[in-house]
Amino acid sequence: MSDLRLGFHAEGFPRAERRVEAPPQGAGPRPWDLDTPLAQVGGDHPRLEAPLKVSGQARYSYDVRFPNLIYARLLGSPHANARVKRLDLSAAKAHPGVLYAEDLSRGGQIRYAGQAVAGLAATSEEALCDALDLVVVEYEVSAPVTTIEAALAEGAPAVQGSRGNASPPKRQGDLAKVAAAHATPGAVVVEATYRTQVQTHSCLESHGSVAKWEGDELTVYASTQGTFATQGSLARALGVPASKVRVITEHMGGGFGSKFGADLWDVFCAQAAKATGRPCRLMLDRAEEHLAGNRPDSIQACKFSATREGKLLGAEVRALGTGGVGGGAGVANPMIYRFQAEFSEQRDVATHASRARAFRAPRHPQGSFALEGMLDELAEAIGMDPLALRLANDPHPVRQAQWQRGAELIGWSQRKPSGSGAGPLKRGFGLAGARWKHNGRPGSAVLVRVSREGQVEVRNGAQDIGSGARTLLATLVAEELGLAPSQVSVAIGDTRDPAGPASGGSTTSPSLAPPAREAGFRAKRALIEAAARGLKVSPDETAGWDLVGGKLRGAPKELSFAQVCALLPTPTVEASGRGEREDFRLPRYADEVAGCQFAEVEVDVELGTVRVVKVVAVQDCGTVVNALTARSQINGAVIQGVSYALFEERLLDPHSGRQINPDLLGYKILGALDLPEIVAVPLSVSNGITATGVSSLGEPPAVPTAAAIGNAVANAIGARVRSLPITPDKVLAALAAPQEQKK
Amino acid sequence: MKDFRYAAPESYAAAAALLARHPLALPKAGGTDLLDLLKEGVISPPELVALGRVAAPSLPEGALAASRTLASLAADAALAKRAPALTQAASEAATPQVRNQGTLGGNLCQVSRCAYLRTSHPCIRLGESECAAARPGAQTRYHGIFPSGGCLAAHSSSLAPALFALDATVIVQGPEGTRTMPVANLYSQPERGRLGDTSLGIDELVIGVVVPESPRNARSTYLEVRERQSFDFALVSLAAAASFDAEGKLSEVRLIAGAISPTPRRLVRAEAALRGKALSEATLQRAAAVAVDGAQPTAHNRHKTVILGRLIARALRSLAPQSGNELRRGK
Repeated sequence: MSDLRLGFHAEGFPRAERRVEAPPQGAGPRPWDLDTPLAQVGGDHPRLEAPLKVSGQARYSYDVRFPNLIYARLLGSPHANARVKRLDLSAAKAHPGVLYAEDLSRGGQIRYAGQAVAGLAATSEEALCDALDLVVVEYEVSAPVTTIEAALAEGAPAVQGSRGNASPPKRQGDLAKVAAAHATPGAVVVEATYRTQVQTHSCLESHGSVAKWEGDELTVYASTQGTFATQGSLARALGVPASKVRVITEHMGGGFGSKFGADLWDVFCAQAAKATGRPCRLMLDRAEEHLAGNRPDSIQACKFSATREGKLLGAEVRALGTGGVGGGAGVANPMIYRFQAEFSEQRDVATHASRARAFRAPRHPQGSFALEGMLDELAEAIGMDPLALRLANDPHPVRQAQWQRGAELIGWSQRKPSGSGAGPLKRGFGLAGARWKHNGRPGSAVLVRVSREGQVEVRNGAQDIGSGARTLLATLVAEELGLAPSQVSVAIGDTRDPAGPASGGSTTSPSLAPPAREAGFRAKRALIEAAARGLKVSPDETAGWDLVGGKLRGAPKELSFAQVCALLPTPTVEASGRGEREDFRLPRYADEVAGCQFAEVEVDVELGTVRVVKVVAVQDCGTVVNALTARSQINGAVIQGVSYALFEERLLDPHSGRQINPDLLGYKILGALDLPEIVAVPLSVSNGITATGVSSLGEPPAVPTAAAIGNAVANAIGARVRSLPITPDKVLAALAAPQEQKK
Repeated sequence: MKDFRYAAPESYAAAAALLARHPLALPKAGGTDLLDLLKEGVISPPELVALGRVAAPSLPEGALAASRTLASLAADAALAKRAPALTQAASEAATPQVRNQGTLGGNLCQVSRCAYLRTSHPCIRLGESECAAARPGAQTRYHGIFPSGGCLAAHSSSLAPALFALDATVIVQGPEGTRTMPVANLYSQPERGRLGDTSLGIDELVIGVVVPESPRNARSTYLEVRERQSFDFALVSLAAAASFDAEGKLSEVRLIAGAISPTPRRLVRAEAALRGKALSEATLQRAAAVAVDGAQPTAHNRHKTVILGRLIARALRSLAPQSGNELRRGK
């Protein structure tokens, strides 16, 4: 087989390519490369379910109702650090309509406000609400710690018993080498501390499920980003075989990393349904949703150095972060750029706050904010353009081209020294880089079924977290069968169908694409075989036959797709594609997915308000299957990033430990009037990682937005806000700081 | 939300009578604020007296009915001419959806957006002896810088500062009939156990507002600074009305700030510092300085003192006559 030609040919970018040896040809299709003519892949394909969603007909788990349905809720502790001395459910149980109650206080130790102590189920939401007030709980209350500083203070209350509030440090790199790098003659060394806030997932559809038993078989309609993970974890928690649990997620309203399996509330809901013999629904309310996961905060003390010519030398980062009673508060800093030496030391600090969970590009937006800020501080110190500093130290071949393209699209050449222009409104430009791994994983399977009537159906049991999984599957299968995506029907989100990935780490598209293409390829072989039989041609003579543009090409007689299907020997033919391990180990063009973003902001230096005017996001995601949904993913990531940069922050009262902004008015998410112009540029890179080359997209564009905005604000006002969110109080304080602290 | 009775009387008088008979009942106009308080469990009144069906009251000519929606005020071109501060305030409030539902009366009588009150923390207005926002280290980025009666809440109505600056009067219906009072007197300092910002009796309802016509009111403006442009409450709001003499000096000025104290705050000392002066940088700086005399900002809301002074300068500059010609025409 000939070599693969990998790289990218895209409008506005320099052409870049490299030949790599093609993998040995197995039974599957030959990997796509720059030479592959693709009819559907890469086009703009509206989501197949878009009409359902815009007309309100799409059924989310939140919408599922059954006759005889009962309603369940958990009661949370109002105290953040307490011990349950007594819990009495008798009055609640006696309340009319209450069918089920359970003491969930377990060991009795409360470690965050809102931690569940009891669960109730009742025939109506009204009865449930009244009965929750009748649960008697006596607490022994202690003072909580809600911040990193308080948790590390002498004599701070212990959050996790004798373990101490700070985890042992995780160290990477060589501090001595970094010290040597910093000591390079003529080196410029910059030190600063950056902070990021706690961000909650704020999924539009809250967490929860509807559970329905038939005999010993349980069906759960779950708002989850992992149907199979929910099936497994729920079965384990209930002590039943996974084969008895079916999880259905037709549509879901956001997960972002906070919905990876059955939670306490899902287990309680299924138990209440079992105990009462009635279907049961438990969906969190908004305040509870804010407790169901978050992105940890961070304090990152950084010491970076560079030569006066702009070569990066040492990167030294000491980071603290709190994921409340959970861990995972590390930061991705340093990353992306080539330093001579790196060292980082990271600690998780336990506080009396709800548990952190994976959140769209875990560790990365936090790390990016500090890393890219430090790079700009170095650029300023040595008098170098921030873009030139990146170009000089970025080893990724794709990102090198992206920096140039992004700079053109934002108008980087218009960037002026800080504080330029008359009047209180100052413009600024900033930039930051994105990275992610090629995160496709083996273990998924896709089924394609073609009927004699010409219907094509694709099935996979994974959910659509929002990337447009249905349309992706349809497009890949349509490509193989010579059809349009709209001619393919897709069923997803049901664990009775073939296995699929949980949507975490930006794995869904890259994991489903290879088996989808393979299933389509095998279905095509079956159809060509049937056509050969019908045309009385030996199967050996069909090598040049193909399904293209709705027709069978290369055969002695041109048949339409429908005519080919009519020749099937059985009413339907099924083909499956499997994502085998070796399918994910192909040669590759570059080791990581690359991206970069540029922000233009306008800051009112009298009032401290920041408006993001424009964001340019250039993002590699391997092969772009659907340019429309790819841009949509990038738009969504940028919107979430602007929101993180300027508005969102979980506010806990230090005395009660309770969130004082537990709604979506006080917890500020960007609204329509705060939306910048977004120029989303998905760059299709033929990278050879699988037979489709599809890679990760959900997370990488969520990495750099806040960092680019932070840098743009500093450029606009000539003072640096090293803390997210960048609110007017911080802008005004930075402007009022003594001159030597500003830069 | 708890069960409650729901009455829908057909006149304001009947509504006031119902409220008098049932002291724990609360009136409901557009419901954009009240229903949230019920749903969040901050309050659980046993009865709501809905005002949606009341007949239009007889009001003086030119008076604004309390049932006018914020959207209708924002779109009122005649009002924009004679009281621009009011229409600007109405258009800055909330979201298009809320402006279509929320009313003039409801906006004036809304409960503070204090995050501690809204999350049922210890609160003087909720009847407790302590204000959670006043405890050391509390989250007070949005709270007032002029606390009163131990309450740190920030007044949340955007219309109130505007109407106060316009010397408006409110017409109030009680069980015994109607009375009028200046908007300035509608609000009173927080008291333990009283949820709202107004001095109205539990059986009184705002039914109309009279905005006098005057050259000063025609030269008025409303500005607010928010963190977020979509649906956010002001960090600081400011309504200003001014008249200038032939030399461009301020002959009269009215400055009312919102979101810095539990009730709309008239900046008396700043007004005095400006009266009779031309708008020089020094005068504006002096006004900004005295406007925050006696302020008690926390570690989290010092920026409000800065923003207030800059809003004063911005508002007055926007009201200043553009040229001598305009000055003469205006006379």
